[in-house]
Amino acid sequence: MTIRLSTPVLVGAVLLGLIGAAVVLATVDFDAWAIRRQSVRLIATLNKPAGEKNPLAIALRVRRIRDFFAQQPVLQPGDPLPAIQTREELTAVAGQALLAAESIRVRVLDRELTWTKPRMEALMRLAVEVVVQEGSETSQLLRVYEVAWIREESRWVIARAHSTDSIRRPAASE
Amino acid sequence: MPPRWQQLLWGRRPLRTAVRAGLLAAGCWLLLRCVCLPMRVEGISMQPTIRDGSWHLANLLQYRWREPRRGELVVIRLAGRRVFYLKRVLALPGERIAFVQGQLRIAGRDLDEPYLREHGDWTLPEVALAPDEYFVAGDHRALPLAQHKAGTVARADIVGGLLR
Repeated sequence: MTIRLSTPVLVGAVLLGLIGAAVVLATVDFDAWAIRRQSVRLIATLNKPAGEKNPLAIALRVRRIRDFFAQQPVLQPGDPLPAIQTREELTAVAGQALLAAESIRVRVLDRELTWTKPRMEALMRLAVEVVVQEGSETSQLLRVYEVAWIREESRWVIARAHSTDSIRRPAASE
Repeated sequence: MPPRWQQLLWGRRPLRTAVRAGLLAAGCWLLLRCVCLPMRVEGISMQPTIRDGSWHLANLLQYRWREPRRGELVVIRLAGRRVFYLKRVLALPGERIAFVQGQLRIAGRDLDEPYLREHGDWTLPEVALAPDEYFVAGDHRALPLAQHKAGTVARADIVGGLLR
C-alpha cells in the first residue's frame, strides 16, 4: 500500500489532528488531572521510610507536607491526631507524628472526585490504608477522607479534610 | 485469498471481525463496570460465610428496583469503584436494634441468625435507625465489636448485593 503526499492528504491530516486536539481539550479535565497528581505527590510525601531519623530530613518533609495545604486549613485527621486549624498547628502535629513513628506507609485504595457548583472547589473522597510502625508495634488503619481542594496562587491545595466512613458506629455503642 | 493463519486470526472479512471484537469488548466492559463487578474479599469479618481471599461477583443492579432486605449481603461504597465493604443487613430503616451478650434484638425481640457459627458477646444499647439508614455487620462475631466494622449505613452508600 502506498500513500502519495499530496495537498489534499496533508490538509486531511492537519484537519484530523485539529479535530483530535479539540476532542482532547474538550473532554480531558486538566484541573482534575492536576488535583490527582497533587494527591499522589502528597501521599508520596507522607510516606516515611524506616531509616529516616535525621531531624533535618523530617523538618524538610514537614515543610513539603505543609505546602500541600491552604493558608488556613481546617483538618480533622481522626484519632489519634487532633483537629488542626492553622498551618502552624499542622507543622507541629505533622512533626510530632513523623518523629514518633518509626515508619509510615500510606497507600491509596480508591478515590473519587466531584466538583462544586460553581466550579470553585473539588471534593475528593479518598480511601487510604495507613501502616504505622512505632517501636515494636505496627498498626494498620483503613481511613476514608473527604478532602476539599481549592486553587491558591495557581496551585491546587487542601482547604479542608476530615475523616469519614460509610459505616458509622452508633453513638450509644459500647 | 489470504493465508490460512490470517483467515484463522481475522476471518474472511477482517473489518467485520474487528467490529464484532470491538462490540464484544464494549459489552464485556459495560457488563463488568455497571452490572456485575468481580471482587476479591480481603479480611476475616465475614467468616465463616465468606472466606478471606475468595472471589465473588457483586450485582450492582440488585437494589435499583427494590430495597435491601434483612439477612442479605450488601456491597457498600467507600470512596470510588475499586474498594467496597461487604456486610450483612441486620436492621432496616426505622427499626430499633440492640445486642445483648451476642444476641441480636430487633424492636425488643430476639432474632435468630442461622448464618452464624459463633454469637460472641457483643453488647450494644438499643439504637433507633433513621428512615434512610440500615444497620450492617459482619458474620465473624467472635471478633470483639471494637475491632469490627459494624454500624449504620446510609441507603445511598449501598451500591449492590452479592451475586455469588
